[in-house]
Amino acid sequence: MNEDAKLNDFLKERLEAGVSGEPPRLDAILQAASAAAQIRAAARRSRVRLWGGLLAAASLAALCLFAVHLWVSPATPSSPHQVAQPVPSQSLTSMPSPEQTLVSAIDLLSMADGDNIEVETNAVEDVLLAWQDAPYEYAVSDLLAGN
Amino acid sequence: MEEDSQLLFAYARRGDVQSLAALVRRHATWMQALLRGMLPVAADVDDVFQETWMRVIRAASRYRGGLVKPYLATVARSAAIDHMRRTRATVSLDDEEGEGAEVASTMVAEGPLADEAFESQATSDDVRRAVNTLPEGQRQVLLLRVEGGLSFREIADELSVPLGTALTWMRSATLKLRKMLGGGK
Repeated sequence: MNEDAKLNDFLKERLEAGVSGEPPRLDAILQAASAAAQIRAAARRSRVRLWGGLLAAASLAALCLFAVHLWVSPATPSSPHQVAQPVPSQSLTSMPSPEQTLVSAIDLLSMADGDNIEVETNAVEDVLLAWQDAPYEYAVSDLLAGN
Repeated sequence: MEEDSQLLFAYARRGDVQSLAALVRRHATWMQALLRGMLPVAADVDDVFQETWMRVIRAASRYRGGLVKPYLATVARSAAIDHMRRTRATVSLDDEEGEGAEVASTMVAEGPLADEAFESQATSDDVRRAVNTLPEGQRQVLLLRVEGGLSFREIADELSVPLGTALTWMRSATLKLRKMLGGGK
């Protein structure tokens, strides 16, 4: 042990020699500690109550908003309570009927001669593409094939 | 035995007053010695001791760990300084040769004691008197080091002085006390 450490130990021992080991005013200190602990505990409880209440209120408000949203919002296909309605086919009324299309196709084919057969066939395809209904397209193909 | 920090946490978090009581008892001796060295009036020690623990109690919820003894020493010093300010008994840290210098020179003039005397004949009163003769800065560094167990870096921070100053003050205090108490070095 070096000299400074020896001196420090000596000083510490002497300075503490006449000091009572019992802390002065311990009762007063502990009373104050108890009171402060109770105040802190009460403050903690009150904070828990406050935040708990705020959380419950926020949850209730969110639930109410959701219910109101369901009540006033228009029916959409995404809603689980809605049955999906069939989507009407596009502009069928403006399109020629299948029978008319077939008649047009037959007329075009009947007028065809050797040189113009490709042009007239393309015209038939155009009519059929405008209609876009697969079963009739196959039917016309069958007709063209001569079945 | 529970650590100091565990006792302080037990009080701060659970309100366990018995833990605080154990802490107060554990640190009573050195803290009273520290305050006795800092305060000019011995009768004020009890007041400042109580005030120190009141401050610890008030700040307990903000305790986030760390060594307890140095923390208590800084709180005790702060309470002592505030008390001295209230009673107008404070002495500036810059007062290197305070009113104790005359007493110190008298004691030094009596000549160093033999090594044996250093160990056995210098009483508690002699030591206290010698410590009280030190300039304020040297006395505080000595007490915070010897009684509070603070590092020199912590002492320098606490006293708001450079580390070198704290070391120099400690060295000067040690030399003076050796002469006064009989170390002779």
